[in-house]
Amino acid sequence: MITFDNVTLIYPYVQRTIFENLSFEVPEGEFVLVMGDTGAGKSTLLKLMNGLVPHHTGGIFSGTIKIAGRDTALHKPRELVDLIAIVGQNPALGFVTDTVEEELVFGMESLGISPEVMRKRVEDTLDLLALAPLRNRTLASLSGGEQQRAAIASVLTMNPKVLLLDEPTSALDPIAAEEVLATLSRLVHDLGITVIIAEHKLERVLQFVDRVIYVEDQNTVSIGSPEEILKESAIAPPIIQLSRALHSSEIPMTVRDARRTISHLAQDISPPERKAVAPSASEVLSIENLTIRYGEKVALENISLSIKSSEIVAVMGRNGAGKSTLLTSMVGLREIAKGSVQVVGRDPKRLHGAALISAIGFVPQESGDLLYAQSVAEELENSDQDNYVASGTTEQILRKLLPSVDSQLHPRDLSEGERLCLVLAIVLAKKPSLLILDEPTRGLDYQAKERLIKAISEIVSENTAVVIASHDVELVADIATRVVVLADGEIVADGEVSEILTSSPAFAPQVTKVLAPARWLTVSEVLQSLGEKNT
Amino acid sequence: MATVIVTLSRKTDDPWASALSIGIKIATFALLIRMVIAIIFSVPGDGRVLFSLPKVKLPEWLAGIFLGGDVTQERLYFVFIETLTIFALVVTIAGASSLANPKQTLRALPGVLHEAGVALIIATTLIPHFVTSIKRIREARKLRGDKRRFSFKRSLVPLFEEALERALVLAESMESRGYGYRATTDKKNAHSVLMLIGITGVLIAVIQLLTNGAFRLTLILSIGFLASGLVWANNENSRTRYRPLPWRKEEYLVLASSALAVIFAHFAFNPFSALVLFLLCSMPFFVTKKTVMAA
Repeated sequence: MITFDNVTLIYPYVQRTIFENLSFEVPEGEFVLVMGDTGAGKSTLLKLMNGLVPHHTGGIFSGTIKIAGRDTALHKPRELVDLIAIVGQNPALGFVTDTVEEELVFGMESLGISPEVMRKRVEDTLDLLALAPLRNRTLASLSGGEQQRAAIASVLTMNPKVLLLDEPTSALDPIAAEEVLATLSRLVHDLGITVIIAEHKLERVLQFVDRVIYVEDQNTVSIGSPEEILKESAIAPPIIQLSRALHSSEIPMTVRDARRTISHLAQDISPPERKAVAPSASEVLSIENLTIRYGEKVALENISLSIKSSEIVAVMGRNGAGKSTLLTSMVGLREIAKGSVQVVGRDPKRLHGAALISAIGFVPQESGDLLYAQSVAEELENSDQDNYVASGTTEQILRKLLPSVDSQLHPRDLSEGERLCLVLAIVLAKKPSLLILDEPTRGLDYQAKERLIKAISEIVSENTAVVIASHDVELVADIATRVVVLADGEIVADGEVSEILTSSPAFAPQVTKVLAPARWLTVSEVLQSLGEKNT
Repeated sequence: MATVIVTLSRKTDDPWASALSIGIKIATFALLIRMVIAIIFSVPGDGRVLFSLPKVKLPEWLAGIFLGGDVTQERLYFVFIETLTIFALVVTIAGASSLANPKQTLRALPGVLHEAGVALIIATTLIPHFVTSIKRIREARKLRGDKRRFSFKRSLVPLFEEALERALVLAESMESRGYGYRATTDKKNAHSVLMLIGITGVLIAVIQLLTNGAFRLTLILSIGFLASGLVWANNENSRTRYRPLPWRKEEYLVLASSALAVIFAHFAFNPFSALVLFLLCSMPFFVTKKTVMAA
């Protein structure tokens, strides 16, 4: 279906080649995963397939790419729409029209498909993706998962043979992600469409895929069955790490496989005791009976929460449950209808300038929002000035998080993970008592996640309290001490991390699922116990 | 008046529906400014003097402009009526735009103009995105402890960067969904030439009009060229339309009532005709049905 023959790609003004002499083939009707570190070129690989690279982006390109026999060098992306379709990282930015139904016909109208065929295809696609009840809704009012499905539907109406998706689940909660992936899997099995997705959260997708393309760096791209690739790959989801930790020769792809093949290996070890936060710790954040409304809509209802120093609290819940509202209200960015928020005994709304940043450090969802300088060096300098700290302080913190980064680079040219480190360094320069992170793992690879986890555990040892909103159960299992679950603006659960995560199937990390009923959370716990047993 | 009634009765909760109130505000503002200017800059003339402002002597090279002086009733009345025309125009346009969904208007456009229309409409939808971006950037500055009210580098640079990035993503998405796709491209030039001749003709006609020449023939001819070029291009355009908007009885009635109003206004002017005019202009209120937008 897709053939790459000696493909080389170089962007002008960039020292390294993006790809060199790449050759591989993807057969028809397969579910293919493209994996690799951030910045390795996963998105570029997808865009090469439908011709957006180099037709739209520029760059020096050699070799041939053929999609069902059609050469992408000779056809513009718009002339390939009947063969290959792409859904971008943030589908909301790519919507052209207002409502779901109009979005579905946008492409077909350009192609000149007759109205009768259009009517029929719209109905078919709406049914296929379970969008029929949403057909007249405006796109902006849809939830993240629904938007993703609408974006998929809007390209499916053109009857493509290949569907490309760039991180389709990175912004979604576990349930919505599952829904989208199940839909994709149905497209592969029922319609014989070839689906190719790039994704970081391997634990979510691995169970569905037939083949993996592993982009290690520009010269080494390997392709094979998931078992072959994951046997040795540097990046692996928890389930594979667990099997490696237990010295099993099996490579389980699904929780079911793992329960059958490797769970017995962990029978004679038991989960470690988790220590609770010392009762003497002082209270950093206290929220009492907080209610926040947006117009008529109640975003948060009667929330009470108290967080002590050295605690790491994860806030979880569906998209739109009120997580971001809760977090932003902690920095005083929201109008409070009722109740109060106090950070180290003061109302955050009244804090400004240096007083605010020494009390609270906030990393927003789009961490790049906090950056505005033209280079990393300038950004660090600005931060020292804004924070009234000795010059070089911010840089010192950054070097600890990220030893090698070119300080002449523009912040927008950094990878997602590097940018997060830079923002963290700036926010931490003043040593805030409370650190708040909104969805920090969006677009982060395992390596960057590890770096983040290390940074956070260091901060906590200096008595800072941390609040994290996240969909990433594996991250939460790794670092949080306490979990607060929100649903429709109310707290539905609040407790110790192992208690909350092991009791709910939606929030359980892979290791928990495999080794249930014993209360394990992470691979590192298993490794630790194994080490103790052997000594 | 009639505009306001018709608009208010057919208003929906869509984002563009607030255009009327904004229009009225702008128009009122223009009216006030015009009145203030009329009072400050006097024009020498006869009439009943209402009050006098102290005259300011202006330098020689500003001859003909008078600052201060007598304010006459006639002049105020004249300026008020003159500005009222502008007021009515602004309110009418605002009313029309508050009722029409820009994307629905697009569906009534001939296929050949559709692509240009899409580009225009996307440009208008960028404004709400701008507003949310500005809000986010302002919040981010607060989070970094920035107390200043405004800073070019910290507010506008990120805003433009974001807008550019958004535009690129959208362009990619449209490109990969067949925007601008053409099945046949060989005969494209013929109708382009036809339209070019038409546009040049219109230009010549305008010049002729300004130099008091005979412009009618040129104008008619060039419009003919333009129209045939458009029709030809339209017939060749392969784009199809999903659920075209039907042209119903109501549309004819609205059109007829406005045509009648224009004719009436052209020929008569007295209190009675004003009343008839008002009724005619309110006609759309009676002949159209309240559209129920699906939630």
